[in-house]
Amino acid sequence: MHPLEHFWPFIAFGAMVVAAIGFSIIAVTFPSILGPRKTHNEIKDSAYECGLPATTGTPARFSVKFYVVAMLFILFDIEVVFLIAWGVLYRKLIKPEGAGGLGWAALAVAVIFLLILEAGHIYAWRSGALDWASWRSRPQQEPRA
Amino acid sequence: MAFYVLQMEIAVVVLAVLGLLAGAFWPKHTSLIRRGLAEGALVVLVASLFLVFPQHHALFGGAYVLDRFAIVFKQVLLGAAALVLLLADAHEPLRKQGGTEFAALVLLATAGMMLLTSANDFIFLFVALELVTITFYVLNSFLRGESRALEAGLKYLVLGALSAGFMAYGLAYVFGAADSLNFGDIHHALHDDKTAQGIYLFGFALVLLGLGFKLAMVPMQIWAPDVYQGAPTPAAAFLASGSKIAGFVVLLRLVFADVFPPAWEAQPVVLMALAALTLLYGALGGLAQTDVKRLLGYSSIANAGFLLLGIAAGGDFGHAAVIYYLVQYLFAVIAVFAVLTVVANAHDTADRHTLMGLHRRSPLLALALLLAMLSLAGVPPLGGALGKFFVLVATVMRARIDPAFYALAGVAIVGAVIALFYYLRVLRGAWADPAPDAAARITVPWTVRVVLYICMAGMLFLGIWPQPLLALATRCLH
Repeated sequence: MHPLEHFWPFIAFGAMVVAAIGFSIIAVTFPSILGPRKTHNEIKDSAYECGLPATTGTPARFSVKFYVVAMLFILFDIEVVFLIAWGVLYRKLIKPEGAGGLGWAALAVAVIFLLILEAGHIYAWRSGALDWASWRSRPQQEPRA
Repeated sequence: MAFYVLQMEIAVVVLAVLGLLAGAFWPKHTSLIRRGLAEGALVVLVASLFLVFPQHHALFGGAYVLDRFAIVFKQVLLGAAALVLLLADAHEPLRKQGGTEFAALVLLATAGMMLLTSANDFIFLFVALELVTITFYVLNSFLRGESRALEAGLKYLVLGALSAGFMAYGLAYVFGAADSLNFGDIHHALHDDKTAQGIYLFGFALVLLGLGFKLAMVPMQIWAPDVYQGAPTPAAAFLASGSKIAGFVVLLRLVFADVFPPAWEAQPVVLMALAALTLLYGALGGLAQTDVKRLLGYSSIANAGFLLLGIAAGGDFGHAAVIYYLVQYLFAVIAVFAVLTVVANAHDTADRHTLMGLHRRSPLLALALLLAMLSLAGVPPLGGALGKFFVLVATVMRARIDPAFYALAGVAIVGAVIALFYYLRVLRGAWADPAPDAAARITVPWTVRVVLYICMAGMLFLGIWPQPLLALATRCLH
């Protein structure tokens, strides 16, 4: 039996780690040593080197209002996760109490949960989180002649 | 499932949700709704006094227990929430911001604290604790126009997240060692298994660190002065009263359930060291403060030290002393914050100059400040004096078995004497310094007046006739 046999998996793993680190060091350092020097000027540094000159910056700007929508989406999306656990067990839970289920209570708990969610939804709706522009800042419509 | 066991928590959550919806539907009547929420909390409190609770009821597979200890503290926390809601209605910057969200969030935090008093399982404890902590992230930075409030909210958020991380990490070790997270099983699971006890000790220390954030205990105390100073005054009042009480209730529950590591049974060295450090940090750090809200942050740390001392000393009397201390502390600290709610300047901070000549500008506020500061300092005949006295008695009783506690009692006395200096310095500003010429008389809104009368009555009653509460505290233990 080879004396290193027990350690073989560790040696292989260690060799792979060394190889991976070594390769990434080489990949990062060699091009900057061996490669041609970069030239910098306005045309070279633009997003599209050939073609029409860019008129705006590269990072696209989007309305900050998206964060409320995104937050609400995540909130209501996550709640579904809680319902999945309930849904998977629904057939068992809905059996009458004598047969090892909870009977109507199984349905009632989920309805209560959804009612709480709905209260949150109504709250978000009424306080204007779903409106793109708040009522006050909306331009008043001109009365038609 | 017996959901009537949860009736108090359900009532509070329903109240909070109704408050939110009402505020969204009738934005013109928010002040009325806010006051309605405060009164609703009081109604739940009064109703709970007449309800007959089942004794020793458990829910959710033993994760939730309802015993006398839990019920009493649920009522105490509800009372604190009602007082804080009354303060929030009188607080000028919060009124200007409008809305019922602040009140609803206070109620949701209260629901979390009430769940904490019943927690009998580490997962349940963690979830309830996060409910409290996350609502406080919002409450502390509620005045989002103030950079100080944002700073307070950010500091609380970063340290809160860190402590939640510590706690979750510790829970993994606790589960690994004990194979259960239920308080009832852990003691047996660790019996005679030295390896498991070692792992458990490490896990429990991390859990204690996570809990220490709520208590403002020494390695996790650094946020307290900054957050107390920057947060809206009613939020700081709730942080100092409700949040701290809930944290210590959990710690007491851990003691009652024998969840403390077996290695600490003979001598809780870690707890003793933490108590001494917390006491000294709070006492020494407060000396150089000029802002009264900031000072209260240090005072809160010093008081946490006293409470930890009571828990370390242990014994039935030690635990009863901690319960007594928590209740009297509630009155004193809310009274101070009630005064500051009215007096604090437009930026919602209160340096010593804002209190100058208070006895001329509003005798009621000056009297309330006097009683509250003396109670915090431990001057008889106020509740704070007896709270400190009972804790010291418990320490000396323990010291007969374990002489190291004599040293702790000495540290506690030194800490109390140092703290006396900064409490009295605030009073000198309010009572001896002349009022600035421009300062007008202060009119105290009736909501704050109600809070002040209740707190002053509480402090005096507990200081003069402590037997009823002490008897109740002793009954809570069994």
